[in-house]
Amino acid sequence: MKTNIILMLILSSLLFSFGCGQDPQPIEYGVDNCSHCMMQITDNKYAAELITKKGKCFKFDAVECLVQHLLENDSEENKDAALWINDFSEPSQFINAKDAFYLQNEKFHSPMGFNVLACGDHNKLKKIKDEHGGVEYDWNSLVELVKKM
Amino acid sequence: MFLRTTISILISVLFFVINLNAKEIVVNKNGKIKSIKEAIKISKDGDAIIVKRGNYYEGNIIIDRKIKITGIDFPVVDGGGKEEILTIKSDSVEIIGLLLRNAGVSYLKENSAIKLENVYGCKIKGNKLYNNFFGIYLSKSSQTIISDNYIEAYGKGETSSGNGIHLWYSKDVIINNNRIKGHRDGIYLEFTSKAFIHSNISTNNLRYGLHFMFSDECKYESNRFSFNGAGVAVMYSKRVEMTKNTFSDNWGQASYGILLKDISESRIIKNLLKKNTTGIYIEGCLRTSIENNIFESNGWAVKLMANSSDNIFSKNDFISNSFDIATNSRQNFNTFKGNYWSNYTGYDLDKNSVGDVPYRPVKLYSIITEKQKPSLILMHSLFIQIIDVAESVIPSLTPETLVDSSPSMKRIN
Repeated sequence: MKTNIILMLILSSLLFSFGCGQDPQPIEYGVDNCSHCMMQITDNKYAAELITKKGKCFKFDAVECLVQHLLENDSEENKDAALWINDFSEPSQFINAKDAFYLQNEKFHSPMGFNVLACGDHNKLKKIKDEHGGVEYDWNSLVELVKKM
Repeated sequence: MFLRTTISILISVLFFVINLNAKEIVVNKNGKIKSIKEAIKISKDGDAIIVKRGNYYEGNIIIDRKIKITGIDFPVVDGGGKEEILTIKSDSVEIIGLLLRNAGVSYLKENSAIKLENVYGCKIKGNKLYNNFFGIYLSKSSQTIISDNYIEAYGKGETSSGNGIHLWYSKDVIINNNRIKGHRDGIYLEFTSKAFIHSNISTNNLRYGLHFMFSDECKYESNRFSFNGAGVAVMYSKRVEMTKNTFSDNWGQASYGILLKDISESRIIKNLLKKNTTGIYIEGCLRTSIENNIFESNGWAVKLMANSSDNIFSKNDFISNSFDIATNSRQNFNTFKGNYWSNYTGYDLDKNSVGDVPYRPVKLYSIITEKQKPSLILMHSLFIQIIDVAESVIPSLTPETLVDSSPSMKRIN
């Protein structure tokens, strides 16, 4: 009886640990495909992720694919989804897309030609901007920009 | 008018004079001029630089005049793993017979073995490129020929590997007879128009053999794409012609012979697609004709998503594919006519070489696998055969209009 209870506990804790987290999931670069444009995700400086409340993960190769996916699938589920984006200054590191700072410049060749990079730290973004130039955006103005594409 | 002609005559005379003065500068490790940089410094437009055999470690060499650099016995020009090797900033430059290696990996600067910036009329011919981040990179350049080069990299991961031949905002470029291996994309075109790509072999690349992004009116012919993540990806482009190419052995979970995404008015003619996980994947594709191709021994010959319309499949051979056509909806707005299907079990009583009963290439099972991937484990089981037969008698889930009403009894190509 006791072992049964322990087993149950272990099983349920396992279930929860796999279940509904909205933490970023690792992208396997060169294997995973972008959910929007179908391209293989290869660049760990521009990739993005959307994770729904139920824990379903959509992966994208660039921020414009993430935004377009959101615009095309305007469901309740997507409204409270977690959005993650690669930090340009620390490749492969995910930061919250809504709090990130964005910079657009033709010099940064992102996979889909939108040429926007994201940084979690505004100082780091400013450093890149001082060196290479570009236009800064926050999340909301970026969404507006993608709409106009 | 008179003034203009005089000026143009004067200019051409001037050029003639310059050409008369064109000299040959020899770079030799044991000679008077020991480095390529030195030779460029003393050269004038129209000069030729001959580089003799030897190793040249000179960092980034910038070419800012109209010269021709020819290597004898493949002199080695090494980037030292840090920098770009040749940066061309002048029109009409020719680079022939060099061995360029170790252009460094950089995240913001796209370091290349040869980069052309804003120029026209250049020629890159018969070079060997090893272990570079990007191989040949054209940025806003036009009327350039890239031919007979051997380009090889040993990219360990996609993120530290650039493309073999990369075109960005370029126009009227001919790419022929190159061999490309081990880069991220073999050939990559972004915002490029009127490129003609023929007789290249692009294999073992980490992502795609050839990749189009926003590139209209391009043409590729008689190339071979094997062992890549996907053979060719054509995306967000119009009027692309794809003829006589071979796509083979592109195996993997998300591998395709051709990946079409949001393209229109293109033509796919006389290609061979053999042993790919998916021969052609089609999504958001309009008014494209797919004719006289051979689909042989693929997992799926064609995956046709329902957001595609007005595409015509005619006179293709579908031979020994696990699935001929897969789709994700009961809707179909595409036409199939006169194809040969090796899975066709109909008959031809009037002996006109056209099957008397229509062929339905979409199996119920392929719809199920499209929605539930794990059900692939049931392949070749009796249960699947039974439901497929039942479905073919009374279609209930497969698209009713996706049908070849005049299937050919004989191989066409």
